[in-house]
Amino acid sequence: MNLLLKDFSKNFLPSEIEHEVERTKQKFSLLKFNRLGTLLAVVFQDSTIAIWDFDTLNMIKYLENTKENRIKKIISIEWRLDGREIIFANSQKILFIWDILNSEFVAKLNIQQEITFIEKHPIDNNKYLITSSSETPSVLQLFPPQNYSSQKTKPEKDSLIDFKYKLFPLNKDLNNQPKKKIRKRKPTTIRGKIQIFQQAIFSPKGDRIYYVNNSKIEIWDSNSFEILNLFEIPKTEPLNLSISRNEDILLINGKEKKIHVIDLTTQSKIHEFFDFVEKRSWTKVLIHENGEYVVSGSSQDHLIYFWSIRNRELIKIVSDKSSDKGIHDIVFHPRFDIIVTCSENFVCTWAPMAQNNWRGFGSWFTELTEREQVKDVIPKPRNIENEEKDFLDIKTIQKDPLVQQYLNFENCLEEEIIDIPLDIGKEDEI
Amino acid sequence: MENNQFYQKEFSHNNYSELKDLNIHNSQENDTWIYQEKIPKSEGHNCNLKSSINPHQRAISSLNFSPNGLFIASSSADKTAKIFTVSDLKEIQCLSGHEKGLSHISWSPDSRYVCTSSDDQTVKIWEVETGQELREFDYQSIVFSSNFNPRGNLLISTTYDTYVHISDVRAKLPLQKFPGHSTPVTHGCFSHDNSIFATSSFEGLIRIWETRTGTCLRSINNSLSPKDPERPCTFVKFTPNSRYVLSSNLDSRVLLTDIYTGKSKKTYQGHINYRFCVGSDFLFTFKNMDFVISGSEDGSVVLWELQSKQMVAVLKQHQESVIDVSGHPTLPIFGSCSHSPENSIKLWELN
Repeated sequence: MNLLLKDFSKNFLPSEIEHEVERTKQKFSLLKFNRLGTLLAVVFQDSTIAIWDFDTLNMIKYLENTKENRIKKIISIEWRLDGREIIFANSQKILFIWDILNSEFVAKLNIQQEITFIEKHPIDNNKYLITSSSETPSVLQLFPPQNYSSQKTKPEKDSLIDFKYKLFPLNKDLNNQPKKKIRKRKPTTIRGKIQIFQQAIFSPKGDRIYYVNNSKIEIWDSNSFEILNLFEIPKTEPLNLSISRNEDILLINGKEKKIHVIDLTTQSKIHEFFDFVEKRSWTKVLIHENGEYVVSGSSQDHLIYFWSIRNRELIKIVSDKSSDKGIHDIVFHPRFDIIVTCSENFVCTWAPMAQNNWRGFGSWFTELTEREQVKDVIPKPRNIENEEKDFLDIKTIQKDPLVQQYLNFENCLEEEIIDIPLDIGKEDEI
Repeated sequence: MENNQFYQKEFSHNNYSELKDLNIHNSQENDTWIYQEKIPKSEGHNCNLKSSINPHQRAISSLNFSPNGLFIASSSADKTAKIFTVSDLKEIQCLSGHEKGLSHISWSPDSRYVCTSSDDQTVKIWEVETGQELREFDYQSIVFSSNFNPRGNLLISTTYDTYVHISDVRAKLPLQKFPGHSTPVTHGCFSHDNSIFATSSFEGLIRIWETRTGTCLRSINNSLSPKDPERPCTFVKFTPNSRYVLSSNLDSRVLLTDIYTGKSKKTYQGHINYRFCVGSDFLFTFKNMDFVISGSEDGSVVLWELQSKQMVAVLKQHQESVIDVSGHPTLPIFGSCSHSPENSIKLWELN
């Protein structure tokens, strides 16, 4: 509400670098925001995790990769909905749940599937969508023990809570009969880094799952795990999927360097984006929430492409000249028009170009049009008694749905933690 | 011309925080700045003096209740800050370590830490439970005030060299500083949702800035009419919904201004304030009545009803100018602190 004071600029593309963080000793690999965008989880290539405060881009918490942890190599990471725990998968078929506040592991689940991507359900805290390299994608349903509430502390340190789970593979044909298991190929590696790929995605409300299976898109119901519908698209091998907030458009980042745009209302492919000049391959492709533009990050150079959905063309190419290595990850901020990208040594924050608001410095001046004749204004004496009679409301917070709230505590879920509590020790820091 | 006089007198002071003196007026011009108006008094409210202590050796510069309502902190020109319990004004911590007098003390939102700003050009963060000094930020200029943001991760510090500093509380180095005004900046305060902050300065301007980018969104001047000069604005604070700002000005007016239109919606008068940086505060009571409190240079604490602007009480128990007042977050209690040589803190209760 308070940001109503600001004039939102016409240039809405986040194409200017606001902040840049450089690390020479550690290399970045993955990024993920928590639900409200206050904390950023950063994964390094040596499989350590750092939690950054997004306001300051300084590190608050750190998870080391030691021999006791046996994390080995982190493939994919996701926040749990209450903001207190992080769930991540390593290359040895194990899922870890780590509590940020107490800095200790909550559970370790042996899934027996090689996981390449994990995605959380928008509403349900215990449902996740797992894409695997050897099996069909499946929905992981966690059953935490009855007395488990993330607010309570564990009785003993280093003890793990026994989480029961069940996997529901998306492995049925149109009549809801189970299909034969198909052995898949192993994922390819690009320069030694295992290529993550994602074959299925939750709908924004969480009631449906879209599964890209070779040349078909299957629509599943996420509660009953039954197939609802399927339609045909040209054959593609998806690396990464992205869906718009009103379930209009699905983007598929294909391995053949093409970005397929699928219209879900007409259930057909409407367009594909392709770099004709350099034939770049894309690490990640994201569609803006409103479905207006698409951001794609190149995997060889530090270039970001902006495409327009409506005009079906390239809008802009932006590059960060200080680095020539590929982009490893891009994320949108949940509430603002900000993109955060990470390449090997840099994490950059991109925002729309800030217009110099000189009007802010002299708000009582009015602009004159040309040839307007202004005579000397004699100020009238203010009748303060009449002007100040009104009742002032100083407590109710006005809501404005058009303007994104910076931090609306009323949007919080039950038991959600927005921030890591302030704990300034004298001998900490890394 | 006036500004030059001010700066010359400023540098002649050795210990600024001892006096917080902005003595730049001429006695003849004084009358034009005080707006004469009949101020009706309302009945039905009584204030009792609960307790009074004299803990410091020199003038007390600021007073603040903790957000959880259990403690009250005071900072003084005798280079120390003290923390007391609200129930019986027992001293639980004495924070010493600054090399010169203190100007301001404020609490973190979880009531675990306090930050003190001092004339020795540093801001220090202390832990309340142990009294240990945890962080020190050096700003190379006299610091007038520093405040936490409601999330607790940022600190806004305003200094004499016209800069506004935003720092990360956890880090060891200050984050960002930007030129905010053309005169010393007296006070800074964040809004309830951390999105904007307000700063007040000697040139009489209140500026509203966006936290994330540091751009200036709005400027508000506190002059009575376009013909009158602007008087220094010494204190600014947001209302709980961050729509209005409460400001204290050196023409004996406390204003409640709308930040969107820039016009003052309420004016509170009847006290005297033309020399010192006297603070003001809100007092929210459980009976849905809201009050505005301010100190005054004749030694009285003045209470107004917020909506009707009527003066509810004039409490004259201090012998010296009342420098700062603070309203308890939940109970109908408020505190006042005074200048030297009295150096006392008094707690009052509203019935």
